[in-house]
Amino acid sequence: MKKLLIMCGTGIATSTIVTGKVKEWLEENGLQNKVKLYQSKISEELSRIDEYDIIVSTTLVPDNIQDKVINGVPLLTGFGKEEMFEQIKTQILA
Amino acid sequence: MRGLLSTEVETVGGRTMFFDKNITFFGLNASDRTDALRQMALSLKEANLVTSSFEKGVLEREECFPTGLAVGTFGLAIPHTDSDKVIAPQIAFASLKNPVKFRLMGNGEEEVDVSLIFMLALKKSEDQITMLQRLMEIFQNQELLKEFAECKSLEDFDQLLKQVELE
Repeated sequence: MKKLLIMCGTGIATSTIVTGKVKEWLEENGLQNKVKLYQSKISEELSRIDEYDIIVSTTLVPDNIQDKVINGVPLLTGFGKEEMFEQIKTQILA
Repeated sequence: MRGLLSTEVETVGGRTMFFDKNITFFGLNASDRTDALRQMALSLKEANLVTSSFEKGVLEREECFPTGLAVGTFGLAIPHTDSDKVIAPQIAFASLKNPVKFRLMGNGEEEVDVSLIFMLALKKSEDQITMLQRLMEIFQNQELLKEFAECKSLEDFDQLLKQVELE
């Protein structure tokens, strides 16, 4: 089972929304048994970021981890949502 | 997809608890984002909804983790900070007389002209997920955002909240 981290700056507002949407999407696509979801704030995760397989962030991340982080903002604005889900799906099935 | 309009929202005396203190600004005059954020945070502080460190928290957080969102051609921002600076959950609302620049969430470089600000003073996440999801549903609807921007009074605002079932 892959570990999927969803993080934002405070761990209470935007990551809550994104977690809810990702959970719904996982269920709709029958992927809920393939991933375990974690919701947190960025400051608590940077030191152990390598423990996760997939990372979605609504907030800015340091340059050194940028390549492995999926931008979660499309789930807040609705623009670019499908592409974002495709990215997650690719990583789940990889 | 689960429809948000069918879900329950916590209410106090018939009114959603997140807007019950009327921390609202219609056509707020602000020189820049810091000025707008200060005025809104001060209002929350004066109503004893947040601690004295809330303003500083919001301003610092906005610089590190910007909260501007571009919804089509519409710009809005959802500034917030850690929950330990919040006494009672509330959302402050402002429509701006002239848009101010915010940096985009999740993107360090681009800016967006913001004409609506929802300042979130929130506690634990479980209590507010329904409300947050509904709010986000509204944020994805440019027509509704325009209606929020056109609110001229508390009456207009109340009516709109009721219409979108946030009241």
